[in-house]
Amino acid sequence: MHRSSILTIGFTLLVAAALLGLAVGASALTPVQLWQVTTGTLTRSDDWMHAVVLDVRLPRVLLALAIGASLSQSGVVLQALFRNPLAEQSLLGISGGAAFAAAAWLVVVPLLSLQTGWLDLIALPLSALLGALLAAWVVIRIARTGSATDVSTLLLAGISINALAGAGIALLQTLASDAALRDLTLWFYGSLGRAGWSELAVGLPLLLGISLWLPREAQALDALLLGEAEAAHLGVRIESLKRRLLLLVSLAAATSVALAGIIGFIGLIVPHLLRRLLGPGHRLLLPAAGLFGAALLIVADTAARTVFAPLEVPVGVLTALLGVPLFLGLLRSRHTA
Amino acid sequence: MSLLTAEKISVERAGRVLLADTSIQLAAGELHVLLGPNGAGKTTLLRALSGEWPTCTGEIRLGNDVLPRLDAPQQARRRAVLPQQDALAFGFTVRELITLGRHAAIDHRPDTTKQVIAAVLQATDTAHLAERRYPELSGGERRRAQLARVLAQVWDVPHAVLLLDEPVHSLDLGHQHTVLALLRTLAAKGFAILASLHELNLAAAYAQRVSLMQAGRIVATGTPETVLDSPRLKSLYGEDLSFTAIENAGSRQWLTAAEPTRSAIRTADPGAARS
Repeated sequence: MHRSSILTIGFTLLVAAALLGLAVGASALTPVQLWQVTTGTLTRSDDWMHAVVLDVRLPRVLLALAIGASLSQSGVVLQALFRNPLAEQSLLGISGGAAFAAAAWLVVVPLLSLQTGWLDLIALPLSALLGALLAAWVVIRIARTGSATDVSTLLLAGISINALAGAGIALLQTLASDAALRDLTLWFYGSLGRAGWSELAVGLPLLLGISLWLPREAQALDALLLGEAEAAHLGVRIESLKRRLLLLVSLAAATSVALAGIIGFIGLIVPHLLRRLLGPGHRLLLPAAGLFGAALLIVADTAARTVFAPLEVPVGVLTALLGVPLFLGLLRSRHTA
Repeated sequence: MSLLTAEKISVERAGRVLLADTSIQLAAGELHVLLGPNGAGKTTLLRALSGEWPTCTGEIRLGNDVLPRLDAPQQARRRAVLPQQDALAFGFTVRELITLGRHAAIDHRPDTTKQVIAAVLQATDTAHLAERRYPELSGGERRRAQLARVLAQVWDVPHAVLLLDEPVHSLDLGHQHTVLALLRTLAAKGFAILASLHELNLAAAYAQRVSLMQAGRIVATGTPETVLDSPRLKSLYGEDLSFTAIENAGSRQWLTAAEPTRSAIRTADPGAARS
């Protein structure tokens, strides 16, 4: 099998996952009905299908697509930046930092009864971005030692940032109003349940834009796997590359957190499996990670809202259930290798 | 023609002087070897010349251009660096690894890339490893694969600088000679090459110029015949070692042995040593 056929497989999976996500739910649609909805050839009595698919399921599937692709690609980038297959935004505390900063904004503003007006629209994602950038900066300062990043230092740095963010959020919860409290809980276990067209208007172009940009950096990311000094000797402008990548990854993490909370391990599972099939080269790895990450999160979200229907499991719980065994396996194989 | 010139460069870290007021010129056509004991500053000098120490004082010129004035791709087209440590843990194939060397190359045509890769695979005797994954290779095979990557970077450049930190480390005897003969060929082609070695006899046989380093300084520079002598080598590597020159078919080789005092301790009766 040619390696680039992985992209075809990924694309097929993504389309299949999207159709599944649109068809499955409290009221399931047959393929024929789905076709009628998309082509607008429904009978009048079936109008509810139109509403369910286009106003409820479609935005949710699109959000899962954008966030899944972005989480998985960000994982690939972080793993190259730290030269470590265990780096991932939620493990490193970047998502935690974003969640804490966003929660702080959400709780503190009503508490002080500040009038923010139009600021509300951008302030939440913006504070999430600041939180993500701060966490990323701390991790990179603590965990980087010359050519390679020490696994234990990296993970311990992530643990401490996550602990701090967790404590901060717990503190905010005691101060928060009931409405804010519901949102906070949702954030800590990511969920795509809030997806609507207005959330997508900002988030979707941003996330997809980053996803389309990242493959341009493939060659430099390959060089980065050799070490920072080595990449510089190969002609990579290393400092500007690192700044750009950290900014993009933090922006992606902040956007996903602001829209759907912390969804962990996608950025660990997908890159790990794809590297086994494709090798470490980023030219194929980045687009493939986008396709498979998107497909995986759509399937996981569909499962999250149907398995215990009418109850909904936070999708972050499902991805953790998939990801933690793999993570422990990776840790173990590092010790035996 | 000096392709790389360093004037009075110094490196200090945490109050310790790693490199003191060192000047060196790397001329086109010359294989220049750095010798010296562990910690003498060979790696520090090579890293300083490759622009890795931001705190390095003094002046380094690549051709006629002062170093910080050239950006990373410009430097990479004129100078390739083989570091001593190798941290690659990801499973590139040897061919993919070598392709990374072409990152800054101006000539990106697939034909050129293919030709350069084939040439360096052959030159470093790694053609049979081309499709193997890097982490599965032995130490010596990895070293040669990394060397191939470094050579691919400047293979089609007429006057390039190569800075190689222990290029023959963990290579078997046969490959040590293959690699040094290759470096001599590249020097003859117009490259300026600086390589650190621990093998005295490889330096004596292949280097056109040798610099001896001790305590962060170059203490002697010249042809192997003029620089390498018994008193200098003793002061470099230890007074209790003996160095005997052997003239062999027009080239001078060195026989190294421990003085009787040292070997006596080693063979002494364990009971006596304890008391």
